[in-house]
Amino acid sequence: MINHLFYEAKLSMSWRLLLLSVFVSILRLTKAFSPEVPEIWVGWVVFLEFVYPVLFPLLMFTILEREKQWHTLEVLVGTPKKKGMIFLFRSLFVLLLLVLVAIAAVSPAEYLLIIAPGLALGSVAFLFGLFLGEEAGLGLSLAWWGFSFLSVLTGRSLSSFRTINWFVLLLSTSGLPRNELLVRKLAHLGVGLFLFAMAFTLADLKRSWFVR
Amino acid sequence: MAIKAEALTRHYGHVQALKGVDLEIGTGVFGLLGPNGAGKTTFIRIVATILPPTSGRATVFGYDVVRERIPIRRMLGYLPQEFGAYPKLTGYEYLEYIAALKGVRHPKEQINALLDRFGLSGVARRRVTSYSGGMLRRLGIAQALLGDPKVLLVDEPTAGLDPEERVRFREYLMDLGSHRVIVLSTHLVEDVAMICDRLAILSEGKLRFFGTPGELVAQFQGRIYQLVVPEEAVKEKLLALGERVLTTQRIEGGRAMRVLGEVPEGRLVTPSLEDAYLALLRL
Repeated sequence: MINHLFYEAKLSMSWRLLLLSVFVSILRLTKAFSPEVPEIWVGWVVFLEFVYPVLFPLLMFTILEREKQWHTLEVLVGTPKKKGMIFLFRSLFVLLLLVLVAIAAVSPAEYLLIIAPGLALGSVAFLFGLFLGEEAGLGLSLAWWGFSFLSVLTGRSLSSFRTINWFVLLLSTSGLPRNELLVRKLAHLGVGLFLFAMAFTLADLKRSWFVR
Repeated sequence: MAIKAEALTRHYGHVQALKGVDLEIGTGVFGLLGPNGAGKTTFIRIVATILPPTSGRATVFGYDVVRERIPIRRMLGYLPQEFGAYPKLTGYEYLEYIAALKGVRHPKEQINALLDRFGLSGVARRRVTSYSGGMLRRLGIAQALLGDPKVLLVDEPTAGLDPEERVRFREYLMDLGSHRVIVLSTHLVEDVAMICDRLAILSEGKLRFFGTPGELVAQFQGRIYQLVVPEEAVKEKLLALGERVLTTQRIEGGRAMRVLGEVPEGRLVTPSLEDAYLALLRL
């Protein structure tokens, strides 16, 4: 098991992402980057909430795409090891790095703000990537992000659509009370975790690994 | 029988890759021969539990390829047509990773023995990105043999290998086939002629022949003729004989043609396995 974990870490580890988290941590710890000034801090969080979640689906797409690109998928599928477990480990190592970057980049009060939409988008990319093909998964998740982005750009009041507005992922500029914002972010986190669990189950049950 | 297929079909949209194939495969090296697009890879993938059949049934040692995938995967070694290894890993690491996925206990001895056997010990600590096509293919067969599988599926294993590598590869397979089930999918008749005890020929998703190489050749005994045609008359002869021409070979002063069916100026010859295979596809 330890051997297996070691190799999954080695295969999924993105050195660039690790360096980024170390770099951001150093900036924060040495106070070279001090976003504590409220004007800078708000702008920084808004920027991160817009940009950072996109990394999640991109990395989830990469996990699936590389198996095909390297022609390693068929051998992997042909082994008795549960595919859900393999992809769980790989996703965890990738997500761990992303969370490390987030921890270094913002204060604990804002973790949920940038991690929840990332997990939601990443889980869509992964689940639908397994189900419909990785391009479709990535496309759907980016469409979701695009919808949220457009909602912010067009400045639609979140209260105007009762159900649809829960799908808007980018909320830091919405003007929602802090409590409601956190509830929505928790809902996005919950959806993300649920879809991830579904994706790992699907990987185990998946019968057709059609290789182009 | 180790592998059994009953009325196996597989569709990709409107394309029928397999059309009701019945096959029984036992111990030894079994050749799956056919032109490109015949359905060989689809058959191998179904047996390897990568793809489910659209209809029909296939079993490996009694286990159903759809419902009982895990027990099949435990006894399977698989070398796909397009084999690749993780570029981040060395040859040794790749085998160690696959051993972990296969649940091989104490893999080090096995890995070292396989690296030795396939002449990869010297490059085992090098990243696989530096491997030649032949070395990668040998790494592929080494990973397939990890865990000493009862069934080995190899899809076009000699494609892209130089002649020397190809000969060595056939020897490996012959050695391995003495005590396990090996299914060798290929479009090269030479591979089958050299190492297979039995073979099946697939064409356009249908099973066209099932038996021993000798039985296939016997089907065309007395039906293959050879004639020598001067160079200037080759075009005209090819047009006249059409699909009956199986092979042509350049010889001094013209071409030697192998033809299916009697030709007045030809002489009857003993068919080779290649003649018989090509003749079968013409029928």
